[in-house]
Amino acid sequence: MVPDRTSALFWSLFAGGAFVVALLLPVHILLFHFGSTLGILEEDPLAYDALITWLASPLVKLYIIILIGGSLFHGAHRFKYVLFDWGMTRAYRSVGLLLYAIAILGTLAALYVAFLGP
Amino acid sequence: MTEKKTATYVQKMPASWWLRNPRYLAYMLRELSSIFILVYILTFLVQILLLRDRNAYDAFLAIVESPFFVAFTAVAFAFAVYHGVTWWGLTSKVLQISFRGKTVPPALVLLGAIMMWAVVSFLVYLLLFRGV
Repeated sequence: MVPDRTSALFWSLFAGGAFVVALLLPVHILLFHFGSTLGILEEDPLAYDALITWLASPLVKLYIIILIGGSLFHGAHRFKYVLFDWGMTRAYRSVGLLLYAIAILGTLAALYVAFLGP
Repeated sequence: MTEKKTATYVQKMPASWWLRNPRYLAYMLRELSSIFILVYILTFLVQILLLRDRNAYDAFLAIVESPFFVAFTAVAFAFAVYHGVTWWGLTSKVLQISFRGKTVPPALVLLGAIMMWAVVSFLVYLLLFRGV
C-alpha cells in the first residue's frame, strides 16, 4: 500500500498553522483592531499610511507570510473536517480541495505582498 | 443499494450530534473557530492587497471599522484565544518533556506554554508595532 503523503503534508501544515494561529493571531487582532481604542497604540495601525510604513519592515514581511499562510492552511484543514462532522461525509473531500486551493493562493498572495509590495 | 463501497465505515449521525453533550459542544466550538479564523485572515489579506489603490483601501477600511465588522472581529479574537488555550492544552499533554529522568507534569508544560505565549505577544507588540 502506498503511504498517503499528501494527507500527511496537509496535516503537518494544519498543525504548524495551529501553532502559528495560537501564538500570533490573538495579539495580531488585539493590536490591529482594538490597540488604538484601548490606548495601547497612539494611532490607528490600519490607517493607510501607517499600514504602508508597517509593511516596509523585513520582520513584518516574514511575519505576514507566516501568519497568513499558517492561518489559511490551519483553517482550511479544520473546516474541512467540520463539514465531515456535520454529516457531509462525501462533500467534505471536494470542498476540502477548494479550501486547500484558497490556502495555497492566499499564501502566494501574502508572498507577493511581502516581496513585490501591495 | 447504489451506495459506493468505501474502505472505511462511516456511521450515520444526525448533523446536530454535538449538541448532546457539553464536551461535544466544546469540541465543536473549537472546530468552528476555523471559520472565524479563515474569514478574518482573508479579510486582512484583501486589505493589504488593496493598499495599491488608496481610494479602494479607504472604502474597505470603512467596512472593516464599521460596528458590524468590529463585532465580528471581537468574536474572531475570542475564538483565536479559545483555539490558543486548547492548543497549548493539548500540546502540553502530547509533549513528553523529561528533566533529570522524570517526565515534567503536563500542567507545568502548560504553564510554560502560556508564559511563552505572553512573552511572544509582548515581543510582537515591541518589535512589530513599536519598532524597538
